[in-house]
Amino acid sequence: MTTKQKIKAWLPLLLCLLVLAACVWFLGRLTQPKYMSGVLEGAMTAEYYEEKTPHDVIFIGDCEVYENFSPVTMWREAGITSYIRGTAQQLIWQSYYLLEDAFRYESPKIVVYNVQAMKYSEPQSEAYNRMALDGMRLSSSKLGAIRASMTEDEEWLSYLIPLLRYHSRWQELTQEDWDYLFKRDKVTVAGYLMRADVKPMKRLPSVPILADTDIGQSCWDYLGKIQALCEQHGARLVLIKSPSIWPHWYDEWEEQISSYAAEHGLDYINFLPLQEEIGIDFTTDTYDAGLHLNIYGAEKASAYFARLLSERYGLTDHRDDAVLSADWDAKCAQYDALLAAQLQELEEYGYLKSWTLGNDRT
Amino acid sequence: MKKILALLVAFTLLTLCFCGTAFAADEAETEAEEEEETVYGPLGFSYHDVDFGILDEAEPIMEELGEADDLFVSASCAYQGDDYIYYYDGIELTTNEIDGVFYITGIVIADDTIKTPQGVTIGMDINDALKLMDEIEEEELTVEENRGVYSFQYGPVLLMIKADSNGEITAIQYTAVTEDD
Repeated sequence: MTTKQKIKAWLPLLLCLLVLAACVWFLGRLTQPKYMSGVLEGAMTAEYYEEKTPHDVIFIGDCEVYENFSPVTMWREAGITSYIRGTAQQLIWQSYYLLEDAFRYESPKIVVYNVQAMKYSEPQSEAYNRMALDGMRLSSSKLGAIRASMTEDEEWLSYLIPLLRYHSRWQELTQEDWDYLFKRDKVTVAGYLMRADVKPMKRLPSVPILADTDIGQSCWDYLGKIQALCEQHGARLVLIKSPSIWPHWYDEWEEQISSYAAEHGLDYINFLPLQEEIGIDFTTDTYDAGLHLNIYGAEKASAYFARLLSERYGLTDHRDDAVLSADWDAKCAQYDALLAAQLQELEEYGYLKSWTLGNDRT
Repeated sequence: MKKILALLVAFTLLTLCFCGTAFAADEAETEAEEEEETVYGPLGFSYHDVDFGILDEAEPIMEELGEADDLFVSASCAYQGDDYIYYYDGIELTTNEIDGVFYITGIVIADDTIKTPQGVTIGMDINDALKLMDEIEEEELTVEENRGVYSFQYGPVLLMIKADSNGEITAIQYTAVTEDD
């Protein structure tokens, strides 16, 4: 058989495989949740890849970073360029791989890790795994994150071929799935998920009893890996406990983290005892009674942190840099527009109905 | 005649007593049977004469308890969705939605006005509490201690009693055992 004859014989099969792969890809994309309304957190991971300029500071961690710190405020306060690679209930191994992924694209001077998630030493929930990992670009970091994150009933292949996981959504498809098939609205500004509503903290529940207050070994292992990764890329790791007052931050955890930081030469800043100094008022600065800060609380925490980062680590004020200023001016405009839209919704409905940056939603 | 009347009254009273005892025995037996059916067994709870426990359906219990003083909602660590924590005088009830139905998944004794059915309360010496808990005759009840936290487990229900370094009880909570525990 000549080469031409071989090609002729195999071509139909190759074409069939190609069409099949295209169908699987298309249907996977269609059935995958879009996170453009309701739970927006699932759209956050992918947004990082749209960034146009590098950052001096990268935050990693759970909702206590992406709700409590505003990069726009840090820019306005001290000219610091920052991005929050946060996701809902981001577990420490996910933080590690998301940071490893970020180092492919840039070389931040400071990496800020919020230690709240170190209370979890085992994979927790597929839903949160999906929100953190589905948006990652394919890389060895993504594969590592999938392996480390999977709960017992999950299949790693379904993270690479979404149709395997989401085919059952076929009957639940909505207009949103078609509208956002090939595009997404931005849900954050530099990783910050804004909330302008207020729900005062009135009374916190009793502190739950923990049978075991020891932080798990796997968390210490990954914290060590994060520190090593930062050192390898010339970045300084700063540990923080964000100023959220619920879930409760136990004294035993505080002691373990403080000891670890001291032993390993890391800076650790617990924002909880600094609330008065920062000026956070939980009757006005939270949107869910103390779990997360709203924009008013986040701006106070961010301004304080920006000053601290500048003074302690000598970060450059980039406000005179034309390229960076242009990018951040655009981010500031998005931020202000989103705040105005949220305030308008609050006035109109008394609550936030939608708060993405898409024109048709705000 | 008086003797006959007295005998009749005595007979009637005896009969009533016997029936009453028999009825009470039946009732106790029925109650015991009912208790056996609950997942919490000896780790049930009672508040203002309403008996309930972990993994009971929340709605009928909360109807009996009346309106809560306040509600706190927070993302759940153990379940999908949110924890709904209802404040009542002296206790906090946590409910979670599982397959469309809300169940009681946590009971916290918030102050020393409320006791467990065994009589354990906040502020009590832990040794006295352990004696009270020791009176529970249930082979399947397991007990563990870790740094002042005493965990009593029966099936999927966990009663945790925390004592400080002076042996004084500072916290009491019932929870459902989840994969994390």
